[in-house]
Amino acid sequence: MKKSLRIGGVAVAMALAVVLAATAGGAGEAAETPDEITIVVGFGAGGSNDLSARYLAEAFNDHGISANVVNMPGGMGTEAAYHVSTQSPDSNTFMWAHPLIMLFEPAAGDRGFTIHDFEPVGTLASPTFAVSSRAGAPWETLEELIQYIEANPGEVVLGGQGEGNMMHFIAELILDPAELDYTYVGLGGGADVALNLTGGHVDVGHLSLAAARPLHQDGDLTVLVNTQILVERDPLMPEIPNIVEFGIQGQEPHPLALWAPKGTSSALIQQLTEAMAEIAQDADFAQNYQDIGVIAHYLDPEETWEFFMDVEENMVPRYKAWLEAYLAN
Amino acid sequence: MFAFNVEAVFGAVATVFALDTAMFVMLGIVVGITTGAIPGLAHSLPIALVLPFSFFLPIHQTMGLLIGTYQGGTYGGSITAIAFGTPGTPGAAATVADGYALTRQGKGKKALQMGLYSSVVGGLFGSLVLIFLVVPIGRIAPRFGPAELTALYFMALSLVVVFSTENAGKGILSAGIGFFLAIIGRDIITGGLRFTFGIRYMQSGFPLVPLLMGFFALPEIIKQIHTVITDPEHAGQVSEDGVLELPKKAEPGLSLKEFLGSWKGTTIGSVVGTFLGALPGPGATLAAYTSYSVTSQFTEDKSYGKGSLEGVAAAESANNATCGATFIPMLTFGIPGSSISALLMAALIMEGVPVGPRVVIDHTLVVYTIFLLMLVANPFNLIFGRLLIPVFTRLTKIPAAVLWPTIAIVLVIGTYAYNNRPFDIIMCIIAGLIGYFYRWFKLPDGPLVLAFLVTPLFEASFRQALTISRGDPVFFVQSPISQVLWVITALSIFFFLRKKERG
Repeated sequence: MKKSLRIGGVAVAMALAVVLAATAGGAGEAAETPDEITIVVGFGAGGSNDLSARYLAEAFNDHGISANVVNMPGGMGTEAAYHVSTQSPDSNTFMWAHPLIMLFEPAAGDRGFTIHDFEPVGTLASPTFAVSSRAGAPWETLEELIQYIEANPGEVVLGGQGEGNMMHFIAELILDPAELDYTYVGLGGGADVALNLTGGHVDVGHLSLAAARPLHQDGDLTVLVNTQILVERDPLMPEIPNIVEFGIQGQEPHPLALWAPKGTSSALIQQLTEAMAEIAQDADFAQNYQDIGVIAHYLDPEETWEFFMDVEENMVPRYKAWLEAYLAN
Repeated sequence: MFAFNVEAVFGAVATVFALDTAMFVMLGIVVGITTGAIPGLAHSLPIALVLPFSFFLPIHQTMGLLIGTYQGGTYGGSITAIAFGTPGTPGAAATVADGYALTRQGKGKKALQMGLYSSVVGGLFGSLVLIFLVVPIGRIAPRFGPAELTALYFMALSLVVVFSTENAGKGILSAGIGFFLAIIGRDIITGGLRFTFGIRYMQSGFPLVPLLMGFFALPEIIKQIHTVITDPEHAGQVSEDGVLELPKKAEPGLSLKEFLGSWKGTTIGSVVGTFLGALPGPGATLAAYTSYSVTSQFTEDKSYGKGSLEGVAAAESANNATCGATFIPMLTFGIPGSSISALLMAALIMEGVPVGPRVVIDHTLVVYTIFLLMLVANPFNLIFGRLLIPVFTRLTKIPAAVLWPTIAIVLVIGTYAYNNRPFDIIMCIIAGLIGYFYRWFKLPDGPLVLAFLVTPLFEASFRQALTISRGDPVFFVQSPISQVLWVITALSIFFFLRKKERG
């Protein structure tokens, strides 16, 4: 009797485990209450993607919209985007994503979703990236860097964030390897690029302006140019020229927008859009964004869609052709 | 760059020793230990959860809460590793072998106390190094480029493979399996897919926490539940009215002699943990395994690997020593060296403190406050750890019919919470099957865990170094740092082989 009771107890407990697991799975499928929204971030907590979403969630809360941020890192943000794309339209779940996640990654291979599985709510954040050189480098400007590479083929090493992705593509738009003989090395991320630059392991680095600025001020590296796409001069470092000022079309499409699963209530999207438009006018909010290296730049849903479609039509095909050639080599 | 500022020191002392700050540190420690002791809830999760508090709490309270959570969580992971053979955090995986063996020998209380005391010693050591050597050590970190990191990761992997087992062949097989699991997913540089078998979820690779949880916990859960069913007399007692019957006799605690007798493990762990913690990338798990392997060559304890207090001390002092050291790249360059320091850096930025090379000069009071909070968190860790040890010691005595299904439930929830992905539970079960295979064939677990952790780091560094050097192998031994690391690797292998030859 005792034994059968024990076996029964174990069976009940194990069944409970399965039920709890299923419940836990369900908890991720839908928001807790209809008036609370979940903003999914495709990267870990602490980076500019995450912080910009957290500031947005906080601002939503101030506007009477209860919002929380969930981090779902993996696959360069595509795991999270796939998750949101599979949510029901009434789940109140939204994706915080830039073109790298929404356009470039699905163009590189099947990620289980496309941008057409979503509806735009609005764009609000545009992180700025920069090209910087190590301390003591024998050039001070982008033109001098190009001249140096031409005069010293094979000598310069450019450290970027990964290989075969949008940022690598952009780096090669700025410094065309067909014309300039240098070495591109894919490093782990912005922090890795900063470390390799300060340690002198690479000569030039491609990283966020927010990460580069304090090191620039301390003389550990020199910021040469920014690649912001929405404004030419970033207020964080207005003295740094934009890449277009050199006649190079190397602006990076990084703006972060809020996306709803297709079919989400237009009333809810409208409510969020209006809140975002107001939030963008808040000077404290803009300052908070500036402190993390992000420009608070609002685009309404139509402008957001136009911007992303422009990138899809004009940049993504070039990226796909570049990627095919890169992988073939 | 870093001149001693008496005024800021007094300001920091007044801030940290205020009642409100102490309360938040204590709260953080309790949250950290509790969540750290839940398998699967890696301690970056509670830190991420308390991060939004920086929106409205003043900076000293926020940092007190975060640092308390961090230190408490790093220690808390050892509790379940020792008590139930299930590491609460990845950093406590190296503690399982000796810690759980001690519990099964009826010395769980000693092991838990050794885990606590060595964690506090390691934590204090790491904090003191942070305070007094932040600038010189911080300046060394960027010197580790791709070539130096390749040498470092090769050294760590070699040490663990060679030292973790009597049978080097089994060590290499174990590392090979870890290597295979690590390369599943995307190519870390080109983004191409490897061994995903067409499964979309596999594109992001085999996740660390579900791997560790399944690998260590599931075989034990299955074994214990099998015992409950087949041999109930040895599975603990539940009285007729359902009340748990716990043994009345108290277990003996750790003696001062036993604690001091493990000084080699504690010392090696503190130094190795601080060194590896200061480098971006390696983290607490690599530090704990490296320290555990190095100590194996110096200990005189014959039970090392089968229930040694020194083994617990080596692993636990190392993982807690990384806590202070992980701040070093952040405070010297504004570069986060780990996911935890990225979170703490985010909290500082949200509090209006721009973190960069000048933070020590421009925000001296904040930096001193962080230093003091790191120090103060250790005694609090000691106090709350001591309070909780009797609870966990008694938990190990709960009848297996209740205990192990409960652990299974917690494991499932913790694994899911890691990434909010139901698929991770399937990965956890697969890892459990691998763990069962390891037990069956008595394969060492250290090489698998280390290979799994180090392979992506090693692969990235190796390929980056090859790219930078345009294929020139001399690049790998060009710098003095690389040369020293390769020599240590070669000497370790040489002495190990000589020792084996002499029996």
